[in-house]
Amino acid sequence: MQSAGATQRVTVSPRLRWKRLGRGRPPAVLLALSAAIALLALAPVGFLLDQTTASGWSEVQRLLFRPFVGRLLTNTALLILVGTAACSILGVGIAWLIERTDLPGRRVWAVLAALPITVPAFVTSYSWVSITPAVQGFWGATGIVTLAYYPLVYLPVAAVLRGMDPALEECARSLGYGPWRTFFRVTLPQTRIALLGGMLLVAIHLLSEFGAFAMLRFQTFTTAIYDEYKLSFDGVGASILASVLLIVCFALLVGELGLRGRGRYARVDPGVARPAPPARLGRARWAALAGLFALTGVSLGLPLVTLSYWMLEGASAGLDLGAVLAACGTSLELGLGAAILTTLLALPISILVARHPSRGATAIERATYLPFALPGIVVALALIVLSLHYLPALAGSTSLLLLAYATLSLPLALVATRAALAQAPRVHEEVARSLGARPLVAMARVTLPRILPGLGAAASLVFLATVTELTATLLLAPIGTQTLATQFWAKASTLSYGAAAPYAGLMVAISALPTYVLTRRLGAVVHPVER
Amino acid sequence: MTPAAASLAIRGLSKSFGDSPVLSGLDLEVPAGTLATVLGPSGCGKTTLLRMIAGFEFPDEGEIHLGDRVLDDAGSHLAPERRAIGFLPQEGALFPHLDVAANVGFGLARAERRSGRVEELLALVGLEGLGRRLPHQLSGGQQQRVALARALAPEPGLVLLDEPFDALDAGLRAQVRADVRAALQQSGATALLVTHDQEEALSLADIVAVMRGGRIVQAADPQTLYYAPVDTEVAAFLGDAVLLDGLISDGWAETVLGTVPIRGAAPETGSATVMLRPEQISLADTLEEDRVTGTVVGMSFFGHDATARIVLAGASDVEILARATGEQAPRVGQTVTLLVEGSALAFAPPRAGEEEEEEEEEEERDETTATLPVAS
Repeated sequence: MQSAGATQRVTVSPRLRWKRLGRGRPPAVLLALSAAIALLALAPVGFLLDQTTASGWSEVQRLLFRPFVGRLLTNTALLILVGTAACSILGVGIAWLIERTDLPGRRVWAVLAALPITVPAFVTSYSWVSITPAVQGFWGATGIVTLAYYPLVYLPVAAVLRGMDPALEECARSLGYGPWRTFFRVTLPQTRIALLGGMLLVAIHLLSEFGAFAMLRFQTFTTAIYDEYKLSFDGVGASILASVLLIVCFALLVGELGLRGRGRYARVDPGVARPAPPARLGRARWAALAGLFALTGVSLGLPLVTLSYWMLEGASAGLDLGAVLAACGTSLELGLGAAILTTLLALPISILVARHPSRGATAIERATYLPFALPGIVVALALIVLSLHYLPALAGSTSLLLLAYATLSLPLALVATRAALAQAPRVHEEVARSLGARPLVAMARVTLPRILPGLGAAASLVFLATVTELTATLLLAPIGTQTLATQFWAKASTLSYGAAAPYAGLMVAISALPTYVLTRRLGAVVHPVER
Repeated sequence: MTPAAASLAIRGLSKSFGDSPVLSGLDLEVPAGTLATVLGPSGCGKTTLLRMIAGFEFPDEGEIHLGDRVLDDAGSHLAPERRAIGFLPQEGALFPHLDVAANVGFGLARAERRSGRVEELLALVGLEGLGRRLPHQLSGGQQQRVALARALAPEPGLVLLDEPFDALDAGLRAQVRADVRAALQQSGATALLVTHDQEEALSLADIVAVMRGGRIVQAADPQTLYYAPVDTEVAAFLGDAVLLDGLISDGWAETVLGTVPIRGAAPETGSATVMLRPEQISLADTLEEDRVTGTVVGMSFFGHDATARIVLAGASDVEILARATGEQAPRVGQTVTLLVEGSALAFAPPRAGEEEEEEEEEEERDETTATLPVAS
């Protein structure tokens, strides 16, 4: 019996064996589609690097090794070092105060502390510069972007602190550790992954930020690339600087992976039944409260108040309502287009990863995450260079702009759609098939209704990112296309603060709605995706 | 309502995941209209077997037939949606976005959905009038009954149930079990249920197939299985067993409990393992001459009955399990007389007769049980 079985196994043809791998076997169409999308996301950047090296080594050397590039590197390194450190201290401190102490009004603070992330950094910078030019320069720039980006650390760290098993801290205390030692030896190491992830996000945002630094007259790679680009549309100078920026980004990504190390083992299951008893602040609570007041005042209150002031000012000076509404319409159209396109592009890859997990699927997914670490200016520049060389019909078209948006926000859409698919278990599709539904029909009748909210979340995330996107829009918007961001930029750069205000105000207002929807939804959707 | 109940025939079914074999040459026959259970410990491949019959997994080798239709053989694989096999997964898996009626009607054509068939099915599982509820508004037992109604709706030739009562708490389980059995019988469909719970398998099924190491070691009606297991492992898996060394001659076995008659096929002479069920050993507190006596060293009281662990006088290394009614349960420390009722089964000592044939498979089997991923 046994030996008969063995010979039979040999006679099965290789093609049949492949077919019989069963649940791991992805449909060829899905695999091809996913690979093509990943390629689409990565191609521009690959082409940019190729373009740079093709210009000849001596040319590269001439453009690279000069004091100007050295100054850029120093500026950028200092900015990342100080900015990331400041965001970490601020983010962790606030997270601990709000999640683990008896601070009065914790629920309200939790919302207020996260809000600065909804105001684009270039709008925050604009509001400061419009008050005093003294904030221009390194310290002003670092301070302002810290106030704008600390929620990137606060949010993930707070989530971990909220879910942490209080027994860990209690054990430390019972073993003779004081509150401070417990915090540094037990609590903080638990947040390690979240903290590192948040720091990486801050560093990448600092590297990618263009508008804020241009406004604050602080020169980094992004502003230098923009200036070079303005000098000549297809110059090697911009490409070389972009390539250096690209390499710094990858170095950060790899560095974070290395630092993360064994940290995964220390992860805490988010589902903990018992909430931790809050630490008592005593008299320090008033100091903490005052500190939070001050922080919210400068990070949220000041930009909003300034913005309102300039809006009133601008209105009294005569407001071109038609132009504002036209720009608003364009921004909404582009945001909607990008949201639909990107969600559609994310769907095949999510299905591949969720339903047919394999090494190839994971590689495709990771590849599409990479552009998230790419500055908008690099992606935009790469697309311009690529289209000028190979697809002149696309150059300067709205399609190219949408493609840039899709490349930049594909990871956002992937996270949301993948999480939604993970919540729609495969067994439902199997039951549907046992009841006579063909695979696609089963997917449409059973899975689609369940992932619709997730698809909505994905589209909202992309919409949000697109409406507030400045850099790629500045570079890629077809002539005559005026969005809220480009109009704001045009007015603010000529110091017409009053005229710029309505555009900024509308941008903040438009992005507030999806943010509200998302914060209510993502709590439920993003959580299970983390493994 | 008389669906075309179909017989299931599986021959030489094999399946490996990577290097670990899950099914190795499994054979199983289920006659039309019967309720069969596949009983085995977790990780023995039960769920894989079920998923393969449903068409979700591709067999490496072997054939699956349903009635006169070929579902799987060397060259062909019928898609799950074309098999007409109902499937009830462990957790029910009701579609959460659809109400009860839409769940039950999922596999029906539009016209059938309006024909009152849905209400008819809800009545079959005792849930009349709950059609408008959403799945999360139902108790666990109700969800399982809706899932059964949904599986039965298209009148499948066969219904597969994957440990359907496992997620329910003990109090609810017996009732839901009875309801499901009644609904299955009334529908007339052939059903195959997998479980690791021997009590469930014995009380529910017409046929119980014991699965071990990727194949079926014995398939029979519950009584045959309980009183005539093919080996000591099956015997112990189906319930408490008292295994004693014995010397066989002329249909009698000489054991520490005295001379016991042997039933069924047995080695004619020589040493053997003799199996009794605890309820065959009755206890008395009157001490008589020439009777086997022992001391009660442990007692588990279940209400309706009680199980006593007894160490025999003069053979302190042998521990005997005996079952008494709850009322007559002995106390720990008491000395009792043991009396065997009925006949015993005798098994040749391991690896005496079958060694040449079995050895190779035995090794593979051990490996299988050790490295298997948990099936569910």
